[in-house]
Amino acid sequence: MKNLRKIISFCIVLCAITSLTSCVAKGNKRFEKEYFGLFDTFSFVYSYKNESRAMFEKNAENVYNTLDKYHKLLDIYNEYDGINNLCTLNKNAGIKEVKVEKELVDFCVFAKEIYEKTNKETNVMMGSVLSLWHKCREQGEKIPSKEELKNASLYCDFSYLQINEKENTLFISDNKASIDVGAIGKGYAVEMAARSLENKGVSGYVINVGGNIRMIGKKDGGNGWSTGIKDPFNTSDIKLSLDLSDTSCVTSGSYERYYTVDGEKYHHIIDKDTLLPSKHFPSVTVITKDSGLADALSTALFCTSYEDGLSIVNNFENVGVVWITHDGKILYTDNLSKLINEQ
Amino acid sequence: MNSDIMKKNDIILILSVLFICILIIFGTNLFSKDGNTAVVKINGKVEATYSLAKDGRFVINGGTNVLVIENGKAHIEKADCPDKLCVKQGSISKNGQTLTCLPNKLTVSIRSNESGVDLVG
Repeated sequence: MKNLRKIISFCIVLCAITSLTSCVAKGNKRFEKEYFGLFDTFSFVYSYKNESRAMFEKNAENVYNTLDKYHKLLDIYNEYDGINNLCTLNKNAGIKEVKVEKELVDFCVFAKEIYEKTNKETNVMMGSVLSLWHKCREQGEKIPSKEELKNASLYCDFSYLQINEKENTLFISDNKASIDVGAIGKGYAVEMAARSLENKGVSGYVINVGGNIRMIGKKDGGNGWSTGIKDPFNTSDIKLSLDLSDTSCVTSGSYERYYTVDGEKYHHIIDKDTLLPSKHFPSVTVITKDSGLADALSTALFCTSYEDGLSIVNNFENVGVVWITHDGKILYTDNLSKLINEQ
Repeated sequence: MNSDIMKKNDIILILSVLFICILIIFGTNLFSKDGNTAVVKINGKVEATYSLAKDGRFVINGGTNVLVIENGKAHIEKADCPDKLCVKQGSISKNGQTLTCLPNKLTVSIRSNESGVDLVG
């Protein structure tokens, strides 16, 4: 009788394990939440953890609150009651300094470091040029004239932005200069949101804001997330995938936001040298843990040649890059070779 | 005599339990094959789900966009947004792929149990 009981309990346990593992073993997403309106795009929070819905809701709300905070601070089109943000800063360009929250000062310090280390390719003070393109893209009928662009480019040096870390004030010294953080804002906000989860010991999550992907920890057990990069010439297809965990993956591409004038496409990433949409590559992906850095570098490397890009990458550590060329060739840094699967 | 019957019954019990386990494994796999669906969300809330196995043309979000399921893929055929970027995004069919129409706060995502990529950047 004792033996029989042992056997029965063993069988029940075997049954339970089998049914559990066949459901969970595939490493599927357990919960997801989608937000609209932040950074002019969709934001997704995914959990791959075996946790309660209540825990997920709490973590997702945490992410939303952080993203929303930075969305308001970095917004150059709208002001918000009780906050001095970048819109406030632009409005006071050439007039007076603006007192801001420390988070915004920290962001500007980061932006300055990025400007220097990317050989000025990623420049948040290119607002005067970018606003010309924004206006034209919105109307959809023409492109800015060479003369307009050349005049605006005289007000793009980063020194037009003065940062006072002691007093937490910012000042744009000329009213023709303006700040526009489209190149790094999303990534920076995502990184802050990710860190707020990491500080709580959360792992197995993914934050994705408009394609700016940040993975926290590993997906499950020892596995990473299989992350695909779109084929820029056929966006329904995936050109290659990488096995990633605890890192960011940010792609700059010419195929998602563009408008057409006289049969020619004009996308949204402006090259500082030509003052026109950059033509070097249709797609560049940067893989590194810090999402703000990944966002900033994807813009810089999208706007430079492969060789110049490599020299920028050498200013940083633990950065992987994938370039897709106009002939569909894939180039990548050596540190990614073990993680890549070409499709 | 007793222990012989015991042994025989034990073996029958173990075999039937093992058989049930195998059924469970195959059962969950079989059901998941037809699980490819396109999930339509407006402003983060699910409006509808459509199986990719059935061709169809669906007017969604009160008429702002038209979703077409054809040959196991989903694409947006028509939209009232100014840029029509959602239409230009083409068709999707794999886990992790998404179509988005920002002006209408609309996303169409594929939910699939087949192996493929987890995320698309």
